Amino acid sequence: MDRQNTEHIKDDFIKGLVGLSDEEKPSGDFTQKVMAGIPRAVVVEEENTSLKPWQWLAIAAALTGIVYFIVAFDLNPLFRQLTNVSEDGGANYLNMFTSMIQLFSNAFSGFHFTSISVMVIISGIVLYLGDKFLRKWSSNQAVVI
Amino acid sequence: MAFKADEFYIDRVSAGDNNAFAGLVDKHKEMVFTIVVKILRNREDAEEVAQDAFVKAFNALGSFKREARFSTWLYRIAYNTAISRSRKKQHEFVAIDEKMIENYTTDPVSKSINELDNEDQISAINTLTEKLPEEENLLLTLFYRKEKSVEEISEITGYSQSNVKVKLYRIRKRMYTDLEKYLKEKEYHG
Repeated sequence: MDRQNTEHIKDDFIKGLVGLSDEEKPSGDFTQKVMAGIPRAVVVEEENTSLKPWQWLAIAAALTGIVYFIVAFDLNPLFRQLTNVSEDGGANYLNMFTSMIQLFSNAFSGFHFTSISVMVIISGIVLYLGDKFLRKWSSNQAVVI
Repeated sequence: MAFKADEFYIDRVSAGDNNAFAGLVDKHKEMVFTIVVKILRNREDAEEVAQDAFVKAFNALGSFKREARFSTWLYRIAYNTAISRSRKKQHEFVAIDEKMIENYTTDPVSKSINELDNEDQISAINTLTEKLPEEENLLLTLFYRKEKSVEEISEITGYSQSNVKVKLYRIRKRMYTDLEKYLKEKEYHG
């Protein structure tokens, strides 16, 4: 027999006859049984909520602008007045807020207008790097089961 | 059910979505089960071994080289797993009577079979395939029923292409010899 010749094995009669034979199929829950033996992985997808550097700069500019506005228009007396309005527990928070504003005011008082752009950039970089650090830290906490 | 290309499911599993493997199971379970059941000849065992083959394939998916077809790679795993189980059971293969095979005829047999009604034809082929050794039954199914090429059968079973052809040639001859015998017995018993 010429072993390379497939003509010796082609046979429509056998093909037709074999086609009539019973074909057994796996059970209906076959796939579920297989998947039961495969470890399930919960993929914690990182939400794509990272801000772009220019967005951080915009936020930093806005925050710097607010602080500059408070310093420029000397709004500290207004906050002190607000603090005096209420003597209950809420006043403590206002005191804290006023102190924070005072702190920022003192920090910014030495700056001139030209320094503001530098402050915006520095604030933006700090916010951006802080965001990166927090995201990296939180991704390390993600558990893959 | 319409299935996507194997690569789609493989990529998803590689990305960590293990549930995507169910797509590959659904797509290939019938063929894998056919291979295994032809070798083991026991539905319950075949179900277990076929499941085992899929789990093995899942665990080895990282080593799958995409130069080959995923289906062939998977069927090879199923075949090897079934053969391994079959050998554990120390099942003896029925030796082929070579002398009997040499004296086979085709035309009178096919003519006589065609004269039988459909139910008798099904009964005949089921009786004959049950008598075939497991591996021959598998080769018969892969080549004549599933229409797999000699090349693919060679990749699944590990036999050379020439060996697959020789085996198929012998199986074909044996089928005619057994059919002739079956028809004579049927005629004798009325």
